[in-house]
Amino acid sequence: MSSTKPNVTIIDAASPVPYFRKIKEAFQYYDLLVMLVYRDIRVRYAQTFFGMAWAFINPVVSVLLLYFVFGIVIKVDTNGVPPLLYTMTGICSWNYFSRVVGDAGGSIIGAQSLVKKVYFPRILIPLAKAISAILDLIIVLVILFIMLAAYQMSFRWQMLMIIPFSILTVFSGIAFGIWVASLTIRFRDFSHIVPLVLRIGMFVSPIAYGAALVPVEYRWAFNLNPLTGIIEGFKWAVLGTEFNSASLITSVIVISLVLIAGVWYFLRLDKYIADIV
Amino acid sequence: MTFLFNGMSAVITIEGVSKIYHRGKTRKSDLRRTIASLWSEFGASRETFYALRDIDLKIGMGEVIGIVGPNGAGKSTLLKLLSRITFPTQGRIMIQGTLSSMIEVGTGFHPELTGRENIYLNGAIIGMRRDEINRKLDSIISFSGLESFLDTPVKHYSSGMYVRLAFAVAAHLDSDILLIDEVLAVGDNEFRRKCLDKLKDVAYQGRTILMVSHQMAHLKELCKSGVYLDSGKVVYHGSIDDTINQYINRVNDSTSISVKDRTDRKGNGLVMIRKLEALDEYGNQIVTIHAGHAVNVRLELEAMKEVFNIVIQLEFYDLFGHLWFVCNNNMSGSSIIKMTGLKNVECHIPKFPLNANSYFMNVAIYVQNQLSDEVANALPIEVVPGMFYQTGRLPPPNKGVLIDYSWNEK
Repeated sequence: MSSTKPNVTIIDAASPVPYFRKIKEAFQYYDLLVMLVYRDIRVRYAQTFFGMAWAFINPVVSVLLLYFVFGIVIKVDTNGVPPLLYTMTGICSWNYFSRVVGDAGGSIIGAQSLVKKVYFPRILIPLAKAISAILDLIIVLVILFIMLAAYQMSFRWQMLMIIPFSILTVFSGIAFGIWVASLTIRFRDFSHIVPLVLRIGMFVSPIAYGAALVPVEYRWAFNLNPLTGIIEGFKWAVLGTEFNSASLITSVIVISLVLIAGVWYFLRLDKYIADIV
Repeated sequence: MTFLFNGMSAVITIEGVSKIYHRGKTRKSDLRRTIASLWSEFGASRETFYALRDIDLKIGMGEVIGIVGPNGAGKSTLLKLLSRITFPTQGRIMIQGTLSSMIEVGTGFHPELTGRENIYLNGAIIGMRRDEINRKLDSIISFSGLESFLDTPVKHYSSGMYVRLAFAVAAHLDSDILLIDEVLAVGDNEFRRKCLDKLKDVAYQGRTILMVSHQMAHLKELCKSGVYLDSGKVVYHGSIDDTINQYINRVNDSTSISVKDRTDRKGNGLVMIRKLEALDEYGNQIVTIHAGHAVNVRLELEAMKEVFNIVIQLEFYDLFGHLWFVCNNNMSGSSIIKMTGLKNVECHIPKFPLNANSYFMNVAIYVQNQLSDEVANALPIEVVPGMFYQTGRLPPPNKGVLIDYSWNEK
């Protein structure tokens, strides 16, 4: 830190965790966040042979898989929307979310050589994962728009609502990414639990089918999935399907609570991180 | 808030600080344990140890202080607490001004990124702002001397180039307090010289430096005061020369006593090793040996009665148990025909031929071709880089012995 005025740092074993100061400090390390994001993006596309192509291949494979199961085999009702387009619209936020949550889990353990040797707000590590994955979200949206053009869908003003829904998607990634990162440090079992939950999540999120198909008595549990409201919102914005504002509100509340609790838990764990990774 | 200390203000005040680590399984790192400990208090019992115990220390503004002590003494833990990498279990630390640490070389580097990108990444990691790096970029680049490799991914760098780049970035930190943990253990002598000079500059600017090193020469050159840590406690705090002397005496005491008191020895005991120490060319006891410097290994032997034809063999092993070389007085033709009572013997090694690493020495005494006394691991030997060759350059550590040679154009 290069501050200009002399300041006093007090490290007291007996003092409580200074949550607000730690949050403020994370903002002060903005330049480091930028570099970590830059590194994540650069390295990901520099290292593999196909590079950038993977950001296309992953969501396309997921879409084709879900389209095969729900669109061809089960033939679910998609309100007259072509099933492939329907699934593609549904996958946008899920693809981002699963990538961030999948990456964030091991992120701190992966950076342990750094975490053990230099101090910086560790919350930046999962945060950088969530921010660098925005590139994937943009790529998926590009695929979606290419498909919209191919299906000759005309532009609707509601499509602009993709922007706030995307922002909400990013917040869901940050919120759950921070949780998964801290839980994985503390309980290594989470490196097995997370992929399992993500696999389940791909089928219990309304990606290739509509939330309306879920029986009413299970609907409340279904809506607790923070992505339900977002995915339904995407489909409303792009395809003009029916929109359930209750599930969106539930999503916003769940994401906010998870984010606040996640930051709180992470900062509480922060002082032990170097000792336990 | 100011802290007064000897008339000058203390920039670091450490009060009653302890750091406890849990040995073995660390803090509830698996789910099963946590669940188990929910209904069993016994599940939580773990072995604990103090990495630091009740440390009180005040460090004044502009002080350049060297921290010495054996491995595991708590030196690195102390720096980690100050840099907030880890948190004390007890006590309180007050730090006035900004503090940053020069971390182990290349820790923040990513091999896929270029030299230039790594300057920005590493700079940000150690706490520099982007505009600060922009401003210092030219100076960092010229210090590293790697102008023509800046756009090469650092995975293609040699280890020496890695060190240069990392140190160049770290040397441009301008925090009030700088923590240095063994940063100068690597690199060639020429560059190390440059780094030391840079650190001297930093010290002249009136900034506070805390430095951990096993290389006493560097500490003597840079520091004015010193702290000697052992088993998590401050054993001595004073001038750097006194601190180093205290440390060396303590180490020598413990090794020389241990040779005499060692019970795991072999042989018929006609002649026993009483004392064993390594001396530099001026006869000072040393705990580390510089590669290529003169070393005298002095032994004090005691014969129970008059004995004849005594052969002494020193064997130098690395920590994997590979033998590197042997010094045997019979082979070199300096026979000891006869002795009674106490006798001092010295083996002179004009240019110590091992590179920086940890080694140990076994000693064996033969009397008339019968093993009389043998002590394995009688003396631990820490070799640090030195001027074996006039250039000061050395091959990478742990790669063979060093020999004298010359090259000629024919």
